[in-house]
Amino acid sequence: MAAGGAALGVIPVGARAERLLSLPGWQVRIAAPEPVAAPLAATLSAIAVAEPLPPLEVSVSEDGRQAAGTAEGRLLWSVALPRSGWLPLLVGQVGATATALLRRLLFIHAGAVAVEGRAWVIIGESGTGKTSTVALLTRHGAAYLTDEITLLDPAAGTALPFPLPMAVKPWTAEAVGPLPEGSEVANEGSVRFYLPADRGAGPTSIRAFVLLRPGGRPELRPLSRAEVLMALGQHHSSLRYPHRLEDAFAGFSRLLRGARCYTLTAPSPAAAAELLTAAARAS
Amino acid sequence: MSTSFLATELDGEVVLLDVPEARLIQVDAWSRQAWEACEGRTTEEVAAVLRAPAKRVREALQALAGTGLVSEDQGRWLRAALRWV
Repeated sequence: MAAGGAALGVIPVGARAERLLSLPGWQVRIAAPEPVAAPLAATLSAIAVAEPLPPLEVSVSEDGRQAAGTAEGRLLWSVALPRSGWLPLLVGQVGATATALLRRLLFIHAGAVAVEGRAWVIIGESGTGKTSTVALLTRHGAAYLTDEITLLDPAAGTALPFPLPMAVKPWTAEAVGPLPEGSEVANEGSVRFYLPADRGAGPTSIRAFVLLRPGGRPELRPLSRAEVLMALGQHHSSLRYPHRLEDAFAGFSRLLRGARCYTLTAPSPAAAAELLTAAARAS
Repeated sequence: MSTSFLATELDGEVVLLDVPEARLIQVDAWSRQAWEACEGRTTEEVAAVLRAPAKRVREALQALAGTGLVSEDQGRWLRAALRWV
């Protein structure tokens, strides 16, 4: 059966395919109907994880309605796939799995770019414009590290690339305008998965953590490290996993001591990106 | 007392991790002073050390007690042990 159009909300099914992705640091096996396996594999294909992770098996039922993730013989998750938006959901599940499997590195739900060789980590709730801000920064010359999952090495004080493609939603496209140079690797529902060409290649020393708060007049102002640590407790980060709680607390403390901390308010992602670009070039 | 708290100091501010409750606690400078001065002392003795009104000291210590960072035993304050990171 052929894949249906996203506007009709049809889940693609068809001949089953097995894809084995031998990514740097992680092996992901996908067993799914081909119209699911192909875009999922394409979307995951640029991932590199600096810490070796246990292999993950992603299986999707023949009717394309259920998906499950298994690692080390354990069922980690099982989700019902919606008729539209199944690819962002699957990509999100795989990304979340990576963060749950980490043993040494930490993660924050944050975007990150490298400007002149130093990483800027942009923390914000979903919908605050992280992806748009990262896309604009990348278009203006920053190297893309991630728009969603920032991996951090507390021992080295570095951010590491986790280059899932940017998930460009309609409002992202509207806010950003022309995307940075790169390529669309898949699209489904209303989301385009877009991989910028200029990507950070390895560990990048962290310059700053930025709490993104949409609205208000454009302002980038210093924030205490304690405030940022408290904010991390409210965001999705390694602090959410009970088995990582203590080492995440120690690790984030160490990372914050070596970085600058800011809060950024801006009426638009463009204004946010402009402020960050100026600050990064001045620092 | 058990060491269920991890503590970190960032630019003079203290943030604690309450491990059993999985929560972060930010301790302001005044509460930190009260915490540091309270071990084995009464509220009035702490107030004398800090040269502060006893009411203010009691309020700070009671707030800390609400998080488990201190406890009161026969009128004297006891600090929970911290592990600094």
